[in-house]
Amino acid sequence: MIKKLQAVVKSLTFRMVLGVMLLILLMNLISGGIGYWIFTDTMGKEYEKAALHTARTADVIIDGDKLNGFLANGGSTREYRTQKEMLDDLCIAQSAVELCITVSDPEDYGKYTVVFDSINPKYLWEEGSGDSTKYYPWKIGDKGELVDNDYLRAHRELLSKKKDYSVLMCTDRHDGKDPHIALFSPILDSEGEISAILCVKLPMEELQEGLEVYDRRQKLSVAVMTVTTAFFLGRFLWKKFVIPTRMLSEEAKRFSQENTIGDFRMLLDNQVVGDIQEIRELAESVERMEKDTLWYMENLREATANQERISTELSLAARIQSSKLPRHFPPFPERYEFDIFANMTPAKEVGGDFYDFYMLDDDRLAIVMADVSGKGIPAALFMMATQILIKSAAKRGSSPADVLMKVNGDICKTNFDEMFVTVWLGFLSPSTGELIYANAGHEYPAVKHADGEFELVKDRHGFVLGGLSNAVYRDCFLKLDKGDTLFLYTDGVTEATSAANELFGTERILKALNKDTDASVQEMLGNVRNSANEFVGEAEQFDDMTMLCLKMVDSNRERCLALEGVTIKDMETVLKFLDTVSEEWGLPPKLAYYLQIMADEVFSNIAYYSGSDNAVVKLRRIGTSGVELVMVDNGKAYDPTAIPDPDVTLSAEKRKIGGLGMYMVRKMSDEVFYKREYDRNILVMRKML
Amino acid sequence: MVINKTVENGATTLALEGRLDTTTAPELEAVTMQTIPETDVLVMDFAKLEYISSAGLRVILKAQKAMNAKGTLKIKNVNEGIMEVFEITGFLDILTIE
Repeated sequence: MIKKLQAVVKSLTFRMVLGVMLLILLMNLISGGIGYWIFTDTMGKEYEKAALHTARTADVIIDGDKLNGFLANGGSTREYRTQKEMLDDLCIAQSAVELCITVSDPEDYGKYTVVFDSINPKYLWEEGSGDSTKYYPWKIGDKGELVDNDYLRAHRELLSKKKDYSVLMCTDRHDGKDPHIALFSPILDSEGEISAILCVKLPMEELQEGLEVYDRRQKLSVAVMTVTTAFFLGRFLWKKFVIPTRMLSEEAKRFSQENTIGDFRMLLDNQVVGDIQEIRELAESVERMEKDTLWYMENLREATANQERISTELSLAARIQSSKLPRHFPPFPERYEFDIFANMTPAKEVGGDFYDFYMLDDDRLAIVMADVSGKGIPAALFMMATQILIKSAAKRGSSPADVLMKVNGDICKTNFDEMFVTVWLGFLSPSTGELIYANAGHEYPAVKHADGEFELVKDRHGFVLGGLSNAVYRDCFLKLDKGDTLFLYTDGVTEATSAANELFGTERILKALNKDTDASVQEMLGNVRNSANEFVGEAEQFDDMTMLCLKMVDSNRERCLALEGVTIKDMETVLKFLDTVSEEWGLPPKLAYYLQIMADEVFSNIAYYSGSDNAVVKLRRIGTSGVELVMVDNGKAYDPTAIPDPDVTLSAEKRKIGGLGMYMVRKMSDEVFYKREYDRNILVMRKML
Repeated sequence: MVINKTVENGATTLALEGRLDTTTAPELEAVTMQTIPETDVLVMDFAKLEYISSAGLRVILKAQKAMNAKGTLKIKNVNEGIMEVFEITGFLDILTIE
């Protein structure tokens, strides 16, 4: 109910009508007020004139010199009586209320003595009538005292000769009498001195009546005007404005729900919208807006559909591309002579970098690292073509240099839109550790020998592939002994830019690699990537970052077990593996035992909770007297080191059944830490002997 | 793992042979839960037990709690490795070891 009321109050019609009514009221009040004032003033002046006329007449009748004489003999003389009669006649003739002549006390003008007092019989006070509006007739010699301030003032003014006469309009009934006008004028003696004061009172009934009539008539006319205006104005507004705008807003609402053009013909032609120009314009605008909106919606629908299509194709392309790169690690678990890990992080959804590796035969592993110029779909297409060309040439070809020359020829022939690609290609014989490689404009690889540090291998490299059809490439040779590590990368890593516009550079790569020269291949990539990410900070990744790390495994120092499809049944395999290696390496029985327990705990968790389908167990010697057990799984992120220790001092009743496993692991090892890298959980446990 | 159950003088003995780990722990649990209502004195013989993991510890703890309410649980012939495990995990104070 309140809401409805509020709505009405806010409406245009209501406000306009109310406003107009108030305006009418105000104007009427003003004009009425003015009329009232003029009326009163004019009438007042008329009364004054009449009173003055009476006063002058009375002045003529009365002899100012004789007044004191009258007082002395108490009005007993015939002369007094004659004058009194004339005054009485005058009073009646002029329809006055009272004619009164008083002599003021020379010491106190507030006190007076009555000489004459004529009262019109109409206004004569009658004893016993109880009518206090009538006047009491004073007798000659009666003494009185002025109490009314106005009367006092009037007398004062006359006696000090400030005025010729004083007028009082007694319209309110404060003295208990009907409205009248009282005029005071002095009676002068023959010397021109004031001998007495004459007071003439005339009734103002007509004035009062006139005002009342005026007032009534005014009120009536105001009421009529207000109601009539309100009615017609309201009706006009309602019909011409409110109804059409309501219809338009209904139409707008309908449009927003149905999204079809409304029937404006009907609206406009119909009398409903009417002939108010602004309303018609509004209707036409709404019509136009509806048409435009529908047009935009159509366009937007098409544009969005297009966009979605492109985005779907792009992500499909990204998926196809990533499936072409070897993503499965370890790729050759039975080849324990080497360990390899690689990763490509594209800057856009599809990238131009790639890496590849495959066994060409039993004792040759081909390793490819390449970077196509450009980014996005064109680079990705070119990248995939190059990858295939290299692979097929490698399977048939003899040495890396030959392969590059052949592929270069193929690429240049088909003229890939001025695109080119940098390639590093190597063939490794795992049994001997001999590596033949050729470089077509690619970054220098980093190599670490034995217990040394990583350094760049700066052999002269040939021109990029796809640049010159007759470019020449040369084979280079390298020997990787057990424990030696090779690291390949693309310029996405070296050219990673920080917010301060600095480049990451090869020095920083080497520094990151040398942080832990004994680290596993995954850790190597992790170290470089973390270092680069930290360096780049908040800045955007500009180019694809691709890295590959290969390590020749010293099976006396490192052993690895890979598991496919991880279940608790594999626990036996894991424990047996650790047992075998412990024996081969001659580890002390207690250490072997600890390794078993730790692996048991960690692998149980992996098998039961991680949801992983690929796990790796690695045992590695640290220096001369330490052992490192690493367990890697590709399940959901989980940090076992985050579990708090159980309280081992509690009694049996209070002990909780849980958290014991990791506690044991922590107690049994000298160092435990967890990393999450490349979507893998890595738990490292170290124990020194 | 092999579990040999013998009853003698009102005490039930479970002799464990092999490894008490995640895969074999459920077996032991089943047997202990079955045995506990039958006796007030439960003895576990670890003479032939090579190895115990936290899964095994859980079963032992459960048994200990149950036996605390109605009798005793004793563990005997614990080898060095397993003794150390008990030490590290604080189980030494909870269990009765002979």
